Amino acid sequence: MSPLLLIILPVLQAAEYRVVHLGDSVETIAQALGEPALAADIRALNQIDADTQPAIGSLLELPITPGPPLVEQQGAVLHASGEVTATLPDQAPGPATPGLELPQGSTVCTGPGSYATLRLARSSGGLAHDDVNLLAETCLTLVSAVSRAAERSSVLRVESGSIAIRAADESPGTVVVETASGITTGRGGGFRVSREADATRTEALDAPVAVLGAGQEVAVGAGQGSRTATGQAPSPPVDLLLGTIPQRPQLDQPLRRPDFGWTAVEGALGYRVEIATSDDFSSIVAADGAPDPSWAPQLLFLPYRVQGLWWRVAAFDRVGFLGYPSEPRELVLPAGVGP
Amino acid sequence: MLLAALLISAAAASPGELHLGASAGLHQPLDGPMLFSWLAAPRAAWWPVPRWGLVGELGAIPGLELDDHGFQALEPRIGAALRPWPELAVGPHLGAGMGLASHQPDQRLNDVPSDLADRHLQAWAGLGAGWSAAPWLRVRADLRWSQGFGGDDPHRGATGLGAGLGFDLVQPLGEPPPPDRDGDGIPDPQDACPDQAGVLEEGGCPAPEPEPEPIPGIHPDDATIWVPHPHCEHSDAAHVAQAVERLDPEQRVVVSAPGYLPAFVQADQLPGLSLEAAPAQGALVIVASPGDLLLVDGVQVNPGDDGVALLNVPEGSHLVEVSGGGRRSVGKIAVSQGHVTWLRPQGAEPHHALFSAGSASLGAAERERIARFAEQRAGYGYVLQGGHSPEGAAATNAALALARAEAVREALIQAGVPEADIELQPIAAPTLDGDPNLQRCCLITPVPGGRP
Repeated sequence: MSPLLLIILPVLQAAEYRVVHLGDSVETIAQALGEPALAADIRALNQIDADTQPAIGSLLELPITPGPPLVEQQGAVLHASGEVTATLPDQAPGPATPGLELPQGSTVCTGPGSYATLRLARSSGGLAHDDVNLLAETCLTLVSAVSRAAERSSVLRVESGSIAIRAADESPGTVVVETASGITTGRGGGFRVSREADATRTEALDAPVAVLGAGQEVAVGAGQGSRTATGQAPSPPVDLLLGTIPQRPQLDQPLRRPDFGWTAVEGALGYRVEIATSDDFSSIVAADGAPDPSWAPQLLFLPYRVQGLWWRVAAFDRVGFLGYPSEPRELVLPAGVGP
Repeated sequence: MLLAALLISAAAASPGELHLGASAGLHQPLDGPMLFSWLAAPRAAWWPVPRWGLVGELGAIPGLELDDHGFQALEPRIGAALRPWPELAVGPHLGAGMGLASHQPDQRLNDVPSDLADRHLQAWAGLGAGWSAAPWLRVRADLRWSQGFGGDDPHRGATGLGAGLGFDLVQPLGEPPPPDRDGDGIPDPQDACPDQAGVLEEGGCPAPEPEPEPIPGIHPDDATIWVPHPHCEHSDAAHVAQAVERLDPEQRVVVSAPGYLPAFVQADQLPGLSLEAAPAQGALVIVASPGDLLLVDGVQVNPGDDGVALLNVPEGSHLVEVSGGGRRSVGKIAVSQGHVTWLRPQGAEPHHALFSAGSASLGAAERERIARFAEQRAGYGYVLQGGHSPEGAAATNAALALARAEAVREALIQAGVPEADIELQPIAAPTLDGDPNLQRCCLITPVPGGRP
């Protein structure tokens, strides 16, 4: 294993993808790449006839372009809690332990009550990177992760469950999330994509995203959500509920009784509570729903050999869009827990 | 001469060098008139090692004058010799030893009574310098002091000083030493680096530069190192050296391994870090009500005043029994190593119905929550305890708390709870350090089995 598990491997055959947005054509895409003559290569690569244009929302493979080299990257498992499995290309499924490298084509699945965080593309030689959180019962395939100098791009396919693309601390990268219902593409992270029975729900928290489906594109601003039913255009954006304020347990109060409370959010149908071992919630260890602005689980199971525990809560509305989470609040374990 | 012959014969069968030579010079007794006498001294020396040797010499002074009489002196002597720097072409040498002085009257010079002949022991010491003019020739200059033994007798007490020039013919003994151009003691035929002084272990080549001390690893070797923001990277214990080299020494990292307690250390503390084995135990927090009886695996445990008991128990399944307030809850709970499990016995937890400041009216949402609370606990009875925040007049607050309890009772009845299964208790006194928003409430405590 390499010392740093996020190996960056220059590969000549690295594939770069681009979503076809409203108003795009093969020619405009080639022009955007700086080489109008590449239009023929794009058509050849994607088997597009000369007299047709790709559908909005389709993914085009791009040819090699001049400039900084395109670098294909491997993803990696950063955090895994509970039952998390990884299926690498041409391999049987195995446990997805932190540090496991994920070649392109790898699929990671979380079981009930299990969570994972994956590293996607990373800027060449830089610290900027894109990460994705997988909530419970989620299956995700890493289709592509490439970088070109400071630019980076990742393509994911969500088979089931919910993911959250973490907001990038440094320079923004592009993350494309493909589902059976459509495509969500965002730059800079900070958005969620959830598979529903026959639809995909997108919530943009920190930056706008584009949601594409059935040949239509909807711009979803930060603080908005959209749902795309299979075979239908994305719904018009709706505003997400604002964050709530945690009240119980009070700051620095040891968690003897797991009684959580927060201010009610107007229009909330319920709430979702998350507990993680890091304040950026890249390592979720517990999550649950609550109909009221309080949560008193009958059973709560948390690790104590960790740097710390934090919790946050977000309200969801009557149509299922999950709003902004509250500010993380640290949990204090009761004295005497552990050796 | 006999001694010299013995020396030569001994040397002939031994390694080293044999020196044969002679010196000539002047001798002067120190306690007599300044009449320098000629001396000659053939010499043999055996140098088994370059620095040390044995020397035998026969000094002859044909015109020694002592006490106004002439003598012919023969002085055979032996001793040890030292050349401090044998590798130098020109260098000093030292010597010391014992000898026998034989003085015979020289009748040619004067009429000396024959009873003046004498033999006595003599000690000598000398120093000089030599020049290896050729591998087979060494030219030398010597200064020698001698002291006879025998009291006041002019012979026996004589002290003399001699100086001379001479030469030694050098003959190597045994097998000639093989060539060793670099002088490292390893003959050139066996020296892989004949022009570079080296060591035997490297075949005559210079010893390699000592490798830097390897950076000790981490125990156990399957540990992983998590480097938090901005690196956000995992590394493994086999690459401690790279991690230490790359990271700021004060960068905090987390080292963890299955079955071991994680360590939160700085990067410069990684080398040699040994994780402490984790005891296979976890924590169990039983969230009961004050006054409940708690049994874990049949053993009674004492909860705190708040009804919460905290135990560190071995990993595995444990039987937890909680009884009190007319209810009994028994169940098995699994405790995992390194984890804490909060267990709240079914139905025991009260509900806080919240009110606005100064209000005893239930909002629609709270009314809905009370209905759901009751619906989930069919067959339970309820004890209601109104509350208020500390501010305001006591009488007004007491009335407000009672009104809140009445409002909740009405909500419960509307939710289908028989009125007989509801009991109102005195209000709970508020505490100044509590959250006023939570104190403006009515505490609903479910009691299994119906009527409280």
